[in-house]
Amino acid sequence: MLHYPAGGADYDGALMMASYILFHLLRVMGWTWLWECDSQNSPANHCPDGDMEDTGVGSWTAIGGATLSKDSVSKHQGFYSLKVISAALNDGVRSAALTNMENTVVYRLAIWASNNSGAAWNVDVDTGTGSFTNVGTIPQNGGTWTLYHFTFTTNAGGTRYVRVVDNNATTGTIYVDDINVFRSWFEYNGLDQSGSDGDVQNGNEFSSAGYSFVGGDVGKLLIFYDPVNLGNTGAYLISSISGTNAVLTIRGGGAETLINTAVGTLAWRLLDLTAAPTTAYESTSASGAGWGLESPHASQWRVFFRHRASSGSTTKYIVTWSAPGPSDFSVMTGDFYVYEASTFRPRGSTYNWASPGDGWYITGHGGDTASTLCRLYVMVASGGEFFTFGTRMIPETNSAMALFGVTGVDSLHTVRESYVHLAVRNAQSDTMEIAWSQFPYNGACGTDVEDMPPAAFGLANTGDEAPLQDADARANPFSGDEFLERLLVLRDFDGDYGFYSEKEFDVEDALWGCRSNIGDWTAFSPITGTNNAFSLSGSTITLTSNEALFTPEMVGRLITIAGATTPGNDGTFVITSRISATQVTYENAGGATEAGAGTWSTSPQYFHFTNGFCWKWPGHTAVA
Amino acid sequence: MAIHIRNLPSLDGTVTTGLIAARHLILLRELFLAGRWTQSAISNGATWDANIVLNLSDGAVNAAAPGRVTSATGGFTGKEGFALTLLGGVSDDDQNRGVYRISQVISDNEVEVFTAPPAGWVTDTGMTVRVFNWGLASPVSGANYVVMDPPVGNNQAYIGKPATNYYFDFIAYPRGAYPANPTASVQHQHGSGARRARWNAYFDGASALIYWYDDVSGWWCIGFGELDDADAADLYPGFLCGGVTTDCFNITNGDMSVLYMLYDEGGGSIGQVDARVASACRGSLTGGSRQNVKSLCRAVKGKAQIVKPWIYVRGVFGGYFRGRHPFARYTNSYWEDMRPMTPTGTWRHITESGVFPMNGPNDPRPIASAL
Repeated sequence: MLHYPAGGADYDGALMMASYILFHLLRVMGWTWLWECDSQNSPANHCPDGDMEDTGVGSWTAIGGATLSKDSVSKHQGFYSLKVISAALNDGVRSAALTNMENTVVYRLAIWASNNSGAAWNVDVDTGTGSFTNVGTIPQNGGTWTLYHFTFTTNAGGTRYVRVVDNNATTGTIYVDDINVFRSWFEYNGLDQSGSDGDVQNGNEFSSAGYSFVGGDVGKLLIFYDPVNLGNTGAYLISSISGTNAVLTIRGGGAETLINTAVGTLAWRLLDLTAAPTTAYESTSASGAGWGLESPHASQWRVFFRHRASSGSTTKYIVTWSAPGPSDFSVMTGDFYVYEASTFRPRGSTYNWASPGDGWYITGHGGDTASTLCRLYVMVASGGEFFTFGTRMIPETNSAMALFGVTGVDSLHTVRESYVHLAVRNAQSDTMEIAWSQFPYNGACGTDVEDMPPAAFGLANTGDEAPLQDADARANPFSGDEFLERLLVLRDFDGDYGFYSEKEFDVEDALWGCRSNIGDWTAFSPITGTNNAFSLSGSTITLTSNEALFTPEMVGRLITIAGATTPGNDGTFVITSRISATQVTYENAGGATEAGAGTWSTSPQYFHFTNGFCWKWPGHTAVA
Repeated sequence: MAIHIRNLPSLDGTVTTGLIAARHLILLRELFLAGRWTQSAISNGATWDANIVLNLSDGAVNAAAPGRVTSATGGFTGKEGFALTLLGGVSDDDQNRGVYRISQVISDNEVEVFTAPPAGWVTDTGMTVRVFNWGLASPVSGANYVVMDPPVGNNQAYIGKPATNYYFDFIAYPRGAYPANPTASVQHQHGSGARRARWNAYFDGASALIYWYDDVSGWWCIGFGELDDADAADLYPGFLCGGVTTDCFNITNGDMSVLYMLYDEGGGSIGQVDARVASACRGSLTGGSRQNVKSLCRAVKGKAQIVKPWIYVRGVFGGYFRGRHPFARYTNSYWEDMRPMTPTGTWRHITESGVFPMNGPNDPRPIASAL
């Protein structure tokens, strides 16, 4: 959970900033960049026929003696690539004029190329000056389709072009595809520093071998991924600098700490949040900035977000589309081609994501003078199986929630069939609830063919009661244990398309339904046990509890000891290591070696949002 | 291994109508005995036992001679059409245990019985053979009962009938509690003309499930058991469920969706609370929105959805999840009746979403006929 300023008279950034932070978190966690767009052009790509799907080569001009054609055999995505055969040095191809470019703005140029010509080809841009400047090269790559990124800044005026020209004196052929020109609001925007050389130190500090954090970084956002201590992973505001380390705000209150590391390999990014896309900018256009990423999961499922500004600050949209695998898409719009599985094949009726009232939306708040803070909740499976995120405004108003990814293989469902895309479709509201008309009300799911029929969360129902939402619902009276129901995905919930089934969400025990009358925004169900022995060595206590309840996930969590014979053994401490299921250690120099008495409890295991929707919780005390 | 009994036909066309409970109460006792339950109380026991015309301890079966039951002691002459209960033996294999109908008397020492046990015969000797006449020399008329204890667990089954001879009464008690703290009963009021039925049964540990088809009203069902996944501190996970109408197999929306659970009311009193099978609905709607009963939700690309349901104690009785149903599952309600749901023959869709245990791929389809 991240707590960040997100509102103001002209800021309007809460939901959009959540998308921005989520993008960078996923990138740090190994997700593959697919696509970006800005808000100034329609279609989004500033390069005409960048996806090479137009008939003929009318948008392309041969340079020198080059021969141009569309090729349907060697292509990256879609049906065609652009085949360029050069006859001599500096033969090549030039684009049509780039459309709707802003002056003196940094743009990015992405090109997929298959180059087995034996030599590099130059990539040049006319930024509006009337002459071309080299921005890089496409190397000989043995004919393997490869993505190349370049950058350029537009001139104060003029017409802009891109060209690719042979750098070799002999005849050669190159295939290019999926040329995308965009102003980056995500991958390159606000990214002050990055690396793969990080470590956690002193419980709440982050260090980089190659970068010394400075005072100017205070207030910026540090995102890092710790694949060993997954609970370390997150996005943290920098509160101060200690030496060359960034001191992180672990959360909005409390005293839990991160687990120190000494690997020097943690991937990280340092972001300037003030650069994030906001609706103040995007409202000048019908459609805002967007991104597409591919999961590192073996299924290679893909998801696209595109911001859509709406009137006022209280309701903002992020339009979403996704595919359960590496389905092809057009770099002109980000839309999937309909010959492969994606939410563009919903089976019921086709939809136009840009049309209000259609498609799948994440709706939330933009932030304003009345709601100036936003809390962002993100959970990402380390294997890329799924991610879910939500925003909650402070003071509380429109919240947002969405879930994408695979839900786990079982005897009835393949990976692809287990895929689910749960963002609100049409005009449903948006809060973090498992309830009628809320975010899980209507999404889409994967199938063993190309179609993606409707999907929604299911809730236990007895015919006369919805137990988790029953006002009388309570914990089990015999043990006091809460009942938790794995989130249940109802696939093709009306059976209209022959795909009906009930699929439990069983990846990493992450998402649950609980009774709705547990307090909203409340963490619950701590693990408790009996103190059987305390052993003090130096300042370290080893606690023995014969019930064998200690798990590796408890390291870094708080443990509260009560009822010990020696009062100094009582208190709240951070678990620093787990020796076994019956023993953990923590620092308490004031403790004593003695036989155990009393009980221990750890921080809660689950967090209830509202109305019965809850997450497995990493141990932090909830901020109400 | 569980004990399965399939399609046992009772009585014949000459028996007086209106006596289905009076004629079959003794059969229910025999079924529970075959299921390894033990008798702990009975009313008018001498009257019941008078109907047992043979009680042998040297019965034998042979897998090579399927359907033949032999006894050196003998006494089978004249017992054609009678019921035969087979228990115990040196191997005491679950496959042999059951109640059968004598189809042919081969000799005074050998009979042929049917129906065949679903998993076939296992050669055994030293078996208990109990024979009674469906017509009963002494029908168990009037209000009578037997109380049976399961081989494991803390439940107890009261199986009885009121004075009316076509009513059954079933009640769950904590083990050993009868006759204290009687709880509400599930009463089966058969059509007054009913006189015969086809019987099916399943017994496994604390679980007992009996369903039958009578010649007037069709299917009936009764189950006793203890919930799976109940809390370790729950001393009374026992339950009783059963259909009192022909909707009895509808596990998510009918009579089988209702369970009567035992509960310690304090002060030494054991009460009963009303619980329900919970199935999935979309969002939080209640009443009629459950997805598995929608007519279009039967086509699952050839895959069978079988859900082990949670049991929820209704809000007015406390509002909490108590455990999961041990022997009933639900599926989509529009699968065809009696469809095996797994290639290995472990589960069968009976009708209207109710899924019951099956005894392997060769287990015969339950017959919807009393003949």
